[in-house]
Amino acid sequence: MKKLLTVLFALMLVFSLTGCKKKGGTEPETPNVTAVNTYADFVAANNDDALELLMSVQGHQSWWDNKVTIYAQDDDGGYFLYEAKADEETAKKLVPGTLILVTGFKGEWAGEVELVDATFEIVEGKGKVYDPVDLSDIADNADKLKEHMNQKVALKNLYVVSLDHKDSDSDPDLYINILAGETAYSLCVENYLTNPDTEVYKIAKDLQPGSLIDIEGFLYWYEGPNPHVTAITVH
Amino acid sequence: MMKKLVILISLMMLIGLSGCHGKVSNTVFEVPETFDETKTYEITFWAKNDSNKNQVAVYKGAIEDFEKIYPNIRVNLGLYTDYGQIYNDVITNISTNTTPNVCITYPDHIATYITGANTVVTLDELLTDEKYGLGGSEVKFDGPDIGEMVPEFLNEGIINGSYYAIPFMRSTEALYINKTYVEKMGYEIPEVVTWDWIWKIADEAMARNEDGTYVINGQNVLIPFIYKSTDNMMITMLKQLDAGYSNDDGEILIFNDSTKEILKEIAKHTALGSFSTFKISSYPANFLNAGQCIFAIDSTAGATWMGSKAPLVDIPKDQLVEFETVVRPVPQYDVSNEYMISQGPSICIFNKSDPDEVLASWLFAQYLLSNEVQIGYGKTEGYLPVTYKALNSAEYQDYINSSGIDNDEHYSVKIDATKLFMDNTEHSFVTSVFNGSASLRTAAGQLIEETCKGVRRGKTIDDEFFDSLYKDINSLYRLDQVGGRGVNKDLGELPAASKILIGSLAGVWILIGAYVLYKNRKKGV
Repeated sequence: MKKLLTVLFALMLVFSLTGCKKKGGTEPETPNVTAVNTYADFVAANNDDALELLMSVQGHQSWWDNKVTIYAQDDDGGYFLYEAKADEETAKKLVPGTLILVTGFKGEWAGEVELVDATFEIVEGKGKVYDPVDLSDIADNADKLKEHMNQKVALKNLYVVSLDHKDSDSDPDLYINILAGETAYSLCVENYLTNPDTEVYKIAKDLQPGSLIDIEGFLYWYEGPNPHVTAITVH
Repeated sequence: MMKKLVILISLMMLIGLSGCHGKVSNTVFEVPETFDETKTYEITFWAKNDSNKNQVAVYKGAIEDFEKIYPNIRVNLGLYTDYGQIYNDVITNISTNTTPNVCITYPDHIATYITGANTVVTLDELLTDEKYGLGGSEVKFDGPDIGEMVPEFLNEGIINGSYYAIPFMRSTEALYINKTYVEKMGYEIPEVVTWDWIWKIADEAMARNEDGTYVINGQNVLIPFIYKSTDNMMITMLKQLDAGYSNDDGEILIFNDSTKEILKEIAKHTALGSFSTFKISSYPANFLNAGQCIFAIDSTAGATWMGSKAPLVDIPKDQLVEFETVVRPVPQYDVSNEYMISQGPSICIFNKSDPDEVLASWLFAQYLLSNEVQIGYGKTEGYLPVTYKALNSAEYQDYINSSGIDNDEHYSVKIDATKLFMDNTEHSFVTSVFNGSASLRTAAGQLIEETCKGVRRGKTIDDEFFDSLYKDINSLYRLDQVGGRGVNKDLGELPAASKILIGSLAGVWILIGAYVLYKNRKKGV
């Protein structure tokens, strides 16, 4: 009987572990695939043109309903993949530096130039984690900021005017209304990217009008600059 | 060995059953003879706002006032800005029996909630209860009696022959027009516009100057006609054509030739660049206010965002363009037979094991129908109160008659939008509610969205395109499995949690069998 039970347990163990198989091998330093299009093609494309691009994930929002919104970058510029199709297992594998080959369509929504209806595959190879590009010198110039749309950026010496809460307990985004020089716009602490448990959210919710802050984040656009903030330093 | 086996079996059973935690079947609610006011109750209210702080203030004020009247009832407010999110959260909480007590929702969503036995309280008895019903003898505030409810709105809460919801506010869709541009093009705006009229002007507005800018606005951007809710667009157009959408039995009738003709018309104007949607381009109000849109269709509950003097604006002030805004009903095929959708928040009550707690929830829900709340909330947007008591009150009449005296509470576009619905209630309609009607509604809009995308992405829009689109949408929203049909059809792969549960239960039975065999063999049976 003991033997029978041992076999039974062993079998159950085998069945339960089949989902945990991991691919072996080491990742090549350089990607073994190339994409049809480049960042320059993305910029030059018309809305609704189909594109295939290779990029490195820099961050992503929480997965939901087989969709994930991704912030990504290559050496030439940034991308925002709005609700790219992905199952939960694939979404879990996305970390800063994950290299992905994306097919999608160029879109523009409220000024945000993005990739929509995108699908992607994770590509073997070493992606990059980019340092934020310091745009403090042009923080007051929306036209110049626009050239860096979707990139990971740093903006320093922003003056906090007020703080707005989205009146939703399930999606409690925070909006920090700031002045960069004379130019006013809002920063967004996007709940699906940095939820109330994160350090940046905790700092943001306690910000006082009149504070001077430095931020890092992804240069999202909503009818003007609207960076999705990932870090805040209060002077 | 035996002890270990018993522990193992118990553990596996526990794991196996953990997927069912909290899923308790509620008993049928019966109205208590008397409300026990010696007990204290803590109830949760999930409320939706339109990203409008005045609405949040009305909710908070209502709770404060209610708690003064019933000091033994404490109401916890949960805020949402999206009906879909409330729906998702309710579905999640039904499985753990942690639903809120009172919830703002759509009847389409309630149809799904009530697939769980006794999840949502039927209001048939509560509405007319002598003591605690609408205007009942034991109700401690001046609420409406049942005759003071607008019957068309009240009846929208009937699902499967019973009341499952009471209306909270009602709205319809309105056509917000840049009158300045239309007149500049040499047209006058009729009282009720037709689809032919709006398509014609939208197409003509695409004329450009030599430098590529648009003649009408001198800008590089123009989308003459933007529709916010393509779900409503398709539903309303089909209703106006008396074409199939669904019926009371939950039959899906949308995949018909009229739908195809509507989509072909939309495709034509999308190809010209004269039409787009919220999902593709962004909020109609933002384009309208920047002088980049002439016809914006959105809810009357979005009126405070419409026009160059709108109290709520989402674009930089230097992008606002001066123009005159007028409000009209949505375009019609037949101006002598108008149809516009009736929508807006309803209230449902979730069942709990303590009938007194349910009664406390009902009293609060009923308080949301009092004049204080109805008029207060109605003023925040182009919403219409759902009681004659509020509509006919001196306070509300004064508000309606003070249109335009300021650009805040009395913003003319907002009050015009409200009046539009007041004057056209008899032309409003709702669609049948059944389990799956929410999916059908989304699918209706998706047909338009996918057609527009297809055009913009250079696809050939022909019968083959529509055949494929119908098939894809039918499959994506599982429309062949909703309503009264398809109950025996393959529902697809089981969810992972179900597989684990079944696997664990199978494991338990195998071990029980093994144990019995082992014991019997030991006993020599």
